[in-house]
Amino acid sequence: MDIEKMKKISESDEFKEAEAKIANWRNMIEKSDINGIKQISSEKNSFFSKMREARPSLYMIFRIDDKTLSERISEKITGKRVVID
Amino acid sequence: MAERTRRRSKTAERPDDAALQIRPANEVLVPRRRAVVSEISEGERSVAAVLQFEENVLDVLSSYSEMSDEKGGLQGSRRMLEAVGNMFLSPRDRFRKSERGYERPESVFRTRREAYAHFRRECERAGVRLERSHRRPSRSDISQIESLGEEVANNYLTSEFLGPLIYSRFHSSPPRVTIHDDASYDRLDRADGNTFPTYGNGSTARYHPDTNHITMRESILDQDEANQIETMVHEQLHYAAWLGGGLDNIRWVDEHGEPVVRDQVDWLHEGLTELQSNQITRSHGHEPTSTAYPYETAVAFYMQRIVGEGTLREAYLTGNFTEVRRRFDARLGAGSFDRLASMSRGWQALSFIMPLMAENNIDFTRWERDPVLASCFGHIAAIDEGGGGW
Repeated sequence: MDIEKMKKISESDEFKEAEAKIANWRNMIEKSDINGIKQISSEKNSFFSKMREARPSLYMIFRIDDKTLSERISEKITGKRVVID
Repeated sequence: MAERTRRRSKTAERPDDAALQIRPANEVLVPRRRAVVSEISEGERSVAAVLQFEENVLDVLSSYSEMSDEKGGLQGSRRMLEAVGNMFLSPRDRFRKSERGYERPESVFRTRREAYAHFRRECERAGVRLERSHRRPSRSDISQIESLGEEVANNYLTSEFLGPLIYSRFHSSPPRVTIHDDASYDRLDRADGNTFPTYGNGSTARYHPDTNHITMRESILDQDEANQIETMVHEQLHYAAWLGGGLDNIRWVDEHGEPVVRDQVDWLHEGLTELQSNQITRSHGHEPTSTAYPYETAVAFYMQRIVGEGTLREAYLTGNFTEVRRRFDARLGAGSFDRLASMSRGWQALSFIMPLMAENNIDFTRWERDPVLASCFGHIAAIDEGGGGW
């Protein structure tokens, strides 16, 4: 593992943009109604699908966020918790 | 209905829950024993009151027929009530409540038919329309992987590994594994906005907390046996950890005897699940070719080497990280564990722990040949170089 490379990634604009989006979604999921949740679900799906195609190494970092956001969305929609793997 | 109510009442009447007797938290509290004894009894009363409150509300809810459909209609209510109940508990009481884990899930599916009905209800709740013909896929190897679920439960997750209490709970309500067609799974993924891939597109498996139900997508059957076993162990470990109290949060008692409960350290739980499922699978002579959470698993691997396998395993299953934190800080410096637990993803944790190990003269390069760690870094390198991996 190259620590210097990891530091560079964390300072990149793409990384910061993804972090900001994820934080915003986490916040919005708690406040939104069902339509808002569906909107977030769609945006999130699109964002991570593109990242996975274009920047797989960046997606690998945020993969856990993709999963945990989906779990939270699912819980908000169904009222039940799920662990997605 | 009567049976469900009876089960819940039974659960509420457990003043001397055996779970409390095996927890290291009590040991940590020993130096302040005189003060703590009165706090514990007061705390026990608060916890019992909240548990009773939850049971009472569930009983009221269950009297409404529209909320108590075939089985599991109330499932999920407990979690909602717990969230409300937790608001009335002090951190110490919440800690003690979490220590109990769960005697059994609220919804236990004994037959395949019940479990498939549960999946259909889950899809309906998520607004996912299934094919009219949706039923158990007809492939001949479906029963083979369902049997694999039983084999893993009986032969891989042993009493020695789970400990007697969780083992007993686990086998009282053994996991029920069902396989579902890829189209249904894809729709479920779309509803959740999920792109998370393990094998191909979308999720491979799901564990439904507060039940004994694990679902898997049909294409798991296209994987080789080692990967199927690893996935099966991984999901069953989630269930075991849920029973033990280790899925929902991580907790510890700090050096001042104060309890700390930290929600949503998901990356750590997943890393530990993947590490142990990989190790268990390999110990039975199978070599999985994939590591689902490479950064998270690598951090879990280093933690295991630093604090010891048994200590980390008990923390994983129960959620009580007091001893892990003590050993981790003793080796890497005071405050190290708290910093690690405050991180939001495994990648950051790995960026933190590797230089810290170097500063503390831990030669972590000697572990690079371990097959699990090599698999993590191999996966990361393949992605970095633009290779496959999903």
